Amino acid sequence: MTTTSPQEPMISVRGVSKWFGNLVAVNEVSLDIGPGVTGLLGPNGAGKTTLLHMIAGLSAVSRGEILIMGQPVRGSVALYRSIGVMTEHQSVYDQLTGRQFVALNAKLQKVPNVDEAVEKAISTVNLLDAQDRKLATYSRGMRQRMRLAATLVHDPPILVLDEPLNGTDPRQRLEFQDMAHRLAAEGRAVVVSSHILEEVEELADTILLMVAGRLAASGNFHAIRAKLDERPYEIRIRASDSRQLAGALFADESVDSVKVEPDDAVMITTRDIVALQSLLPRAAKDSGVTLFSVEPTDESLESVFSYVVAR
Amino acid sequence: MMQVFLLTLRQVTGLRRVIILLALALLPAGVTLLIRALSDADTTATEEEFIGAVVVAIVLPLTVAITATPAFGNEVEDRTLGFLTMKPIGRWEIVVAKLVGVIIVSGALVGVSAVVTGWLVYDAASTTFLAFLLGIAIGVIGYSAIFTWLGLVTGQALAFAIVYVFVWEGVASNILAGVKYLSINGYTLSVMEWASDGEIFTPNSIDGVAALVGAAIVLVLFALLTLHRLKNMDVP
Repeated sequence: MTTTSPQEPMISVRGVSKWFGNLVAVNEVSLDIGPGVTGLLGPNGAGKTTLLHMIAGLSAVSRGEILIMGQPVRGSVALYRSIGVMTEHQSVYDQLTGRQFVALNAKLQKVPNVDEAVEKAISTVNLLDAQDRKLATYSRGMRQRMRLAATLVHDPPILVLDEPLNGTDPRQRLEFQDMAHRLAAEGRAVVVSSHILEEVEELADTILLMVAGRLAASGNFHAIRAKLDERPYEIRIRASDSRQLAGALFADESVDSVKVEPDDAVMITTRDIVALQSLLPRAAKDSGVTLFSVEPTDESLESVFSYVVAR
Repeated sequence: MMQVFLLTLRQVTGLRRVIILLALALLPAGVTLLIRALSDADTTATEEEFIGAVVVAIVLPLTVAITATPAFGNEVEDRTLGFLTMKPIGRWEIVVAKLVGVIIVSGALVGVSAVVTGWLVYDAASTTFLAFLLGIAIGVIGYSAIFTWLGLVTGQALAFAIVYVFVWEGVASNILAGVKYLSINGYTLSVMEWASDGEIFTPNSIDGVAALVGAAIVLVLFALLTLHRLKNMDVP
């Protein structure tokens, strides 16, 4: 495995845009990625896959430049010795066995000792027992793991993994987490995309937030989380006496606004969701109101990201 | 390059596809035998016409189309092309390996048809028989280059290939005199006539050497177009 100098980012994305006709998929994104696990987070359609495809050299940039270890990736075939890319598609050569598939990747990568490298890669993803079965017979999770083995087989210093946790169960996720940390600890840059915040929470040292083709925020998970927690939450409550409950909540400083809707639901906005969690049952009990339902109106990841982008 | 070549052989030789193509390949021989069995007169002339019409105009292009279009087409459709392009191997190596694989497999399949059918009609030891096989080989190479490229540029490659075969190689080459200079069918028949010293008669033929040069230009041109496409496309 080779690495770059500490000053040089392993992946450098400079003012990159990508458009398909009138659709701008990635808009003026600049970022540097070094050793460690980097989570590329964003809702579906945010441009994560398009960006990763450009980093992998699969797609050309419409504008800007992408450098891998200081070299332009598109057209530099020798650079692929240093990159392992796992795309989000479940695609494999179904007619091959798992071992044949990993061996094919090893041979195409011109790995010196193919058998040893294949054995090591398959054992890393715990699929030695199934290695001689045809890929067509694999479950989705097994395919993902065997594809990961094929990505690792040439021991690249840069790993680009697009939604690698799709189709995996909780145990496999934990195993993947451990593996990603282990690989990063060896000095690799591991880029993992996901549209699920919790997925990257334990996984990534650095998070890059993408929304609507733009880089909305970057930093460690706690910084991103704090930013997300600052947003106002909107809660919809159904209770036996809406006006009584609204009056009881209105005075508390954790509540920004209270409104009784025409359908008798109470709408609350708050920036301190934790305080509200203890206030609400207490206020209901003190005012003799029965709570029927309490539900957030904007918990989708898209709404969270939209808030971050709008700031 | 060998790995891509072996992978291509696996991709274009699915059991069902091979069975269908072998049935197609042996159809002219079967019909030739049928003609012979049903006719009392000397049927050689009829059989020759039949070979020209069926083997060269139908079996050859269709077999190559069915074999060549998935070479890249399946990779694009199954989204496996990235496995090849994200490796430290030149794009030209991928194109050459795929093209050689297609030529060998489609050549073998069309060859079965050509050898069996030609055997029935011509003297197996004659120059005419060899000229017939040479013409078929030229056709395989030319069509392979075109249809391999087609599989990379469109998801409906087989449909376009069939339309091309019937409209350009079939109808247009019979109506427009100039098309024979730009037709794989024309090159195939012209080489047969030239190599057989006129034993295999081809109306509207061109010079045999010109036909060989034309086929070589088609091979190189479409290999370069395939390479250009592979270098510049967004791989799904």
